[in-house]
Amino acid sequence: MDTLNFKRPARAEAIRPALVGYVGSGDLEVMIEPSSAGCADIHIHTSTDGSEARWRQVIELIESVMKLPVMRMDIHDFAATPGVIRLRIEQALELAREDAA
Amino acid sequence: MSWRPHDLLWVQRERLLPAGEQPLPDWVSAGSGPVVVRRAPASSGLIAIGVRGRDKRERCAAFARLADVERGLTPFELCSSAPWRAHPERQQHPVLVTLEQLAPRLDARALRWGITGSLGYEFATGEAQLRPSSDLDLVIDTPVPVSRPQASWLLRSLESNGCRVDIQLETPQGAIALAEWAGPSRQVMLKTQFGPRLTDAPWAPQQDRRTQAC
Repeated sequence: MDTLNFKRPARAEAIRPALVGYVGSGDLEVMIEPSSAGCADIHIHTSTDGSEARWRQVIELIESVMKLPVMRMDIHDFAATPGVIRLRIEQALELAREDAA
Repeated sequence: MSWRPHDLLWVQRERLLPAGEQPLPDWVSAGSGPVVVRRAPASSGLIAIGVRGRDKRERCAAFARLADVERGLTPFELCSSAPWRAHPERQQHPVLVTLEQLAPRLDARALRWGITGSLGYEFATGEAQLRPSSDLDLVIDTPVPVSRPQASWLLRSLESNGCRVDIQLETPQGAIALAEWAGPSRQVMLKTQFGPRLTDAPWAPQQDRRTQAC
């Protein structure tokens, strides 16, 4: 079990709390909450040890298509593939932005 | 026979082909036991499989030639003889205790259900795989759509005070988690042969975007 923390530059925008995903092998849960930290504060608990580089890659990939909002994001990962991770994070961001605007 | 994800296949491991550019690690051919069908596309004559090693770190994606498959066992066939009743730890291990509780409830609903994951592998091979922290992994074959209220009702009827239970519904398009389909999220993750996607209609064939544009 590994715990990782990424603080990434982010844009202040209206978001609401969001929870998506599933606690099960090959999947993950993503929770988003508004934050006053001034950045995207991402906390990851993962069952896969030594996966920091892989997580950094996924986050950078998402940042290449959208600016992250200022938020606290908590992730519980159960050995999801990068494809599943990206899908779930984007699902959570969409939900967090949906009714908040 | 067309094999589906979670089916266990017996093949000669030396005949397996690597899924990436790296050759298969030595433990693959040094070990024995069936391989597990993966949800991934494969060229004609091949099938995507995963190889289990001694522990979780030893997992490897590969391809098998269909012609090399000596025999196969589906998660549903595994259940037909109720192998958990003969397991020495049936009254102690939380996974087996939970399974003993759930099996009659699943059977009572005439569901075609099966055991996957480490317990399925253990029943198929007799090799001890269960660990104290193991979950119970089940799959239900659902060729016909299950409505969200039905899913919620099914999930509630399968509640137990035992171990964590992961139940996947196998639709013609892929697999979804029963708990997610029963939950409030509008879109759920469908694991397909071509990767995961979000959908609110996991039984519907994906519309071809090119056709839509016409």
